[in-house]
Amino acid sequence: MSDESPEDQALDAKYRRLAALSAGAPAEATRRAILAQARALAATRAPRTLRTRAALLWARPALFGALAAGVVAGLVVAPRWRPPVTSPAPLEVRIAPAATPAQSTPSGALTPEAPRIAAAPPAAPPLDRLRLQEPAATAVPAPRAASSAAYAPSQPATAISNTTTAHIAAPELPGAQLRHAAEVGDLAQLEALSRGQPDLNARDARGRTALMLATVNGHANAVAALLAYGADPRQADAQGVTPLAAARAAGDAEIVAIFARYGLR
Amino acid sequence: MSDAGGTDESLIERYAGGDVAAFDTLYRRHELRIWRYLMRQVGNRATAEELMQEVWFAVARDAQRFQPRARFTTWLFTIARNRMIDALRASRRTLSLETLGYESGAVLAQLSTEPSVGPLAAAVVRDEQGALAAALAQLPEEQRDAFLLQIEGGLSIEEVASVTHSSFETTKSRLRYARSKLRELLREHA
Repeated sequence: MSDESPEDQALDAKYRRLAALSAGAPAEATRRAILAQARALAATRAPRTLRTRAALLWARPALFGALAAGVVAGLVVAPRWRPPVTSPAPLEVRIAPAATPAQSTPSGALTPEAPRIAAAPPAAPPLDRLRLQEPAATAVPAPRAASSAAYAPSQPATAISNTTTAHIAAPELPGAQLRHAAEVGDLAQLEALSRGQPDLNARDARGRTALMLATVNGHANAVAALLAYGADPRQADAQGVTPLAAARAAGDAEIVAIFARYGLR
Repeated sequence: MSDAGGTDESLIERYAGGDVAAFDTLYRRHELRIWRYLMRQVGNRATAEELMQEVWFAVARDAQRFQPRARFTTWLFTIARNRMIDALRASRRTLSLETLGYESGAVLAQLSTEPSVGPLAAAVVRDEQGALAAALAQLPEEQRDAFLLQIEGGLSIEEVASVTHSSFETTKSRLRYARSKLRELLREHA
């Protein structure tokens, strides 16, 4: 536009002046619909990001917890596996394996120091016997206990995606279980839970129902099932976005068509 | 385009990452430009409202596909133009001066309620805007399209050429003819 003549510039200026004075603008309803769709779409993206972050947040403590438990096991358990008093310098022998990272796992608890000591007395029990003699409490591999707690498989994704609301998303709560089943599209679980579920529209901390979670995750069969069980499709989330709006925003024609069968357009 | 909220390109990138406020800023920044482009092209408020939604839904849906090497406004107006063409094809309707005049009158009537514009000034502005709308409606479609893309979208000649799939020289000619014709029509009105 740099090579415009003064006449062109005057014309453009006139156009802009008149355009600026114009009261023409889209209706408020149009504006609201656009912004609601944008929010709904963002909602379908944000949880995945949060889930990834949350998974990392869980994974790190679990990893360090497992390592720490291994070290503790090495410190506490390994010395007990050793033959009682055969070493002329027991203090040195007991301290050395615990300080060695290679001995932090149960399988490596007797290396490298223990075999050398065990070989000295001919009556030293074999490794299997030593393990059988361990106390029951210490026989449980601590790292596995720590990691299984951190990666509890029954923990619903909603709980992971919103760590501030553990009480709402606790897996033992029927509403949370239902939402989790909807989120992952587990039809068998949905059916089982829906039959005894007094409130199919229970919400998470962000106001999302099971139907909304099934919708934003694209589980058309779960959406159809929940509607058939009596879930209310008009329940909007905390931001005012309905499942239908979310489906439209995601361009999910199949789910939009399912809602249409229930009179939602 | 850039201001305190960041460049258009950074805003759409932020929105693609889930930042809803970035979309709000982007929408408010370009709302009226897109609206005027669509209104002046289709000449019907209801159709323009529908298209407005479709355009911004597409922006929201495809935000993650936006290529930062392109200008956001070029991308935005490309979407708007494509939607507008689809809608016009679908409805098989053609622009008419009557349609534009009617719709413009309805919109311009709101000016009388604008407190900063007195009744006489409002009448003058309304008259001028009516003349401008009529002049735009008389332009050949390609010329009007090129002119609106440039003046509303702030696109360069190269960008208009890219959006309309035309050569640089053709686009430049269209713009020159469009401005010449508009001046002529507005002069006649005056």
